[in-house]
Amino acid sequence: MHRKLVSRLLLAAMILLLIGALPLMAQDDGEVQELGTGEIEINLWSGLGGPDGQSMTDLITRFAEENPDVTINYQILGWGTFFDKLSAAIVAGSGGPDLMTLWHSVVPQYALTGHIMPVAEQMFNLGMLDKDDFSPALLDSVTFDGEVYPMPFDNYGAGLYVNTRLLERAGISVDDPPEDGEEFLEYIRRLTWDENGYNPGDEGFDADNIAVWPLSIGWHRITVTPALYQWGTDVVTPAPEAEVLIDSEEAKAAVQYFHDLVFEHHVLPGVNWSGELMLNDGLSMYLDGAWTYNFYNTNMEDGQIAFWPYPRLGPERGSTIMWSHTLAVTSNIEPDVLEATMRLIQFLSDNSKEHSIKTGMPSARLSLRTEDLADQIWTFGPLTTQMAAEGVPEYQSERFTEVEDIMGAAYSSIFTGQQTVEEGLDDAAQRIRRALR
Amino acid sequence: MTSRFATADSDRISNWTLTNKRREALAGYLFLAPYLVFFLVFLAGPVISAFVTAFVEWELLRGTYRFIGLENFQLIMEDDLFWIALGNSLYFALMTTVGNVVVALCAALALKSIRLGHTLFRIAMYAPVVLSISVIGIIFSRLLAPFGLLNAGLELLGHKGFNYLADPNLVLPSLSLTTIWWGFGFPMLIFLAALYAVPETLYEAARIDGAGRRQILWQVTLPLIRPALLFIIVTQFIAHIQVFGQPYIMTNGGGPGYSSYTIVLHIYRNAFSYYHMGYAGAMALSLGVVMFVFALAQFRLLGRYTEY
Repeated sequence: MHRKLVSRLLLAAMILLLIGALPLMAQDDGEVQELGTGEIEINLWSGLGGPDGQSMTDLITRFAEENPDVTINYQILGWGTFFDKLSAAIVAGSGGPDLMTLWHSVVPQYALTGHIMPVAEQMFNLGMLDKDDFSPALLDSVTFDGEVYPMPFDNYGAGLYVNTRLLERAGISVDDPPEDGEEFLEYIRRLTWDENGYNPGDEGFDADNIAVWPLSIGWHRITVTPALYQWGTDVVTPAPEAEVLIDSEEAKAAVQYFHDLVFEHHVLPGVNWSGELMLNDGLSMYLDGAWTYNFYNTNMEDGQIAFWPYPRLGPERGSTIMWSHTLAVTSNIEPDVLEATMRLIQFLSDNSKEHSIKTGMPSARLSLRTEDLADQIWTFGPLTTQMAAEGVPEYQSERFTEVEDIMGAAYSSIFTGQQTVEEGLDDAAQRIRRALR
Repeated sequence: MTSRFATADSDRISNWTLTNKRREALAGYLFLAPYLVFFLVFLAGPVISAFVTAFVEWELLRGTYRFIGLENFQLIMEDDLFWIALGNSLYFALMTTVGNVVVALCAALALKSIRLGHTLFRIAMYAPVVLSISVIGIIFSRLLAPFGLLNAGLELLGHKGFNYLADPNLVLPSLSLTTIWWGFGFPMLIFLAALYAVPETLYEAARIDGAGRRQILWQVTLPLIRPALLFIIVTQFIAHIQVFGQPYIMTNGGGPGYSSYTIVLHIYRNAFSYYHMGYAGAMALSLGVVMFVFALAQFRLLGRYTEY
């Protein structure tokens, strides 16, 4: 009797354990949503999750309602597995998307190998969209052999999210972003507090018990890469030269600046996501992408977080990084599906202002970046102004994924003290040269 | 007459026997067939294919495919990441195998000695094995995060926390502990079965001879469960040198730097992220050789002391 009772209790506990684990198991992405009932089927793969994914889903649902001849098989995939699955589908020759979202940085991988077509060029020629309505620098970055391949959908960058309560505590005005690298270091000093309320440099400052961190530098593509431009260099030059620059003296100086932030100025290096820390007043500044706008907008108390442009740190110029989610079409698409897909791209592009309002991601269409958006989106003004003046599209490479993995590991080794800047960047350069061979 | 009939009968019997044998054989092959088909299609086929792949340059997206002899193996010699990843995998496999054996054996010994709650504890200890590595990875990533539960517990006890997954020295031991928690249930069951197979009379005889608990463990129990021990060590080592899911999910694919970058991650990335299928095939073949050598060494070292 007793054993029976124990077994039943155990069974109940096991079921509860598995039910508890179900939400984690259910996080697997890739479920196909069938939108619309038309005869023409468009297979669409999107890497946009979270708020921008929701906004994209809303737009696609509306398109399906307004175009009864089309059914969209819509699949959201996490960026972590997106490219692996895409490559597998391309090689298998079936089961892949007709239309997909691609970062502009990876476009050469698929354009130069003939797996995507110059759909944007065709749409410009058909008069469906106006080429002059896009930033020339952005279009250049997706142009190969004189033809524009995917259609840029949005155009976004990165900057400095700041906690206004902590700025006030430090006596810094929210209207007074740092002018240069020296002033930025001074802000960092004033925005660091130990558990006794002392700043670095104060007598009695306890560096082992930091209560408020000054800055988090989570993802190197947001933090270090723009600084490379400011020191007049980059990771690699565009193909076909593809000269590796990451072991240049300029690159080492830029990375050294961040190394010193971590090892001398108490900046958080190894935490990938520090949004909650910002909201809980444990972090003063956070270098992050435009997409984080929505997180703060939803979770912050009134005006708690503000946005500054990416600071000028280097000697050469001010700069910020520019990215774009582009809409790419596979090369082996059927003609009737292509026609419907171009209609969908046009619809998404025409409605990208609505997407901006919901997500904080500026449209790639210059005419849709209207001034009224600055009143609705608190990141919009500083972000688009800096992108227009100093924006640099992220480097591209036929081996982008491989090069980025190498760079990510190199920065990680340097910022966790496993390697010096010199060693880390020299090793990375050697591995990139090998990859590009 | 009699002999003619006898011959005919014996021929018939012989034919019948042959047919029966054939029938038996046929039945045997039919029973084997499902596994044989599975084996040929999903194991032998890919192994042969991987073997061939190791000697070609096969760039997935570019569509190039040409025989290059031993060039891929030459590239392995120049690839520092291959050696870093292999070193990490060996370190992880060694740590996890030893940990698994110790924890599983202790758990089995404890389970054998208790009566109340035996079934409860056995199921509870085996339960993590049924969870997928994705679930385990996400749970432990949160548990081991800098502001996670484990550090919160340490702070309550007045100790400073650690950055388990971002500290180059702690990351592999942390992944190893995660894996031991996840997987020790299976070797525990094997040990438990082996422990129950040891005759009670031997324990009684040892006790009559005045042996203490420790002496019984070392002189009676361990020698008699050596076949199970050998089986666990070899299979666990082979399983853990191929670790993939834990670093893929918990350390962003091998970080910090390359501290938890393992050989199967390196093979996976080269095949499916960078599309160097031929090179990945050569590394997979090399890993197969490494595993074979280690398994052979383990059989040689431990097998000589094992009685079946």
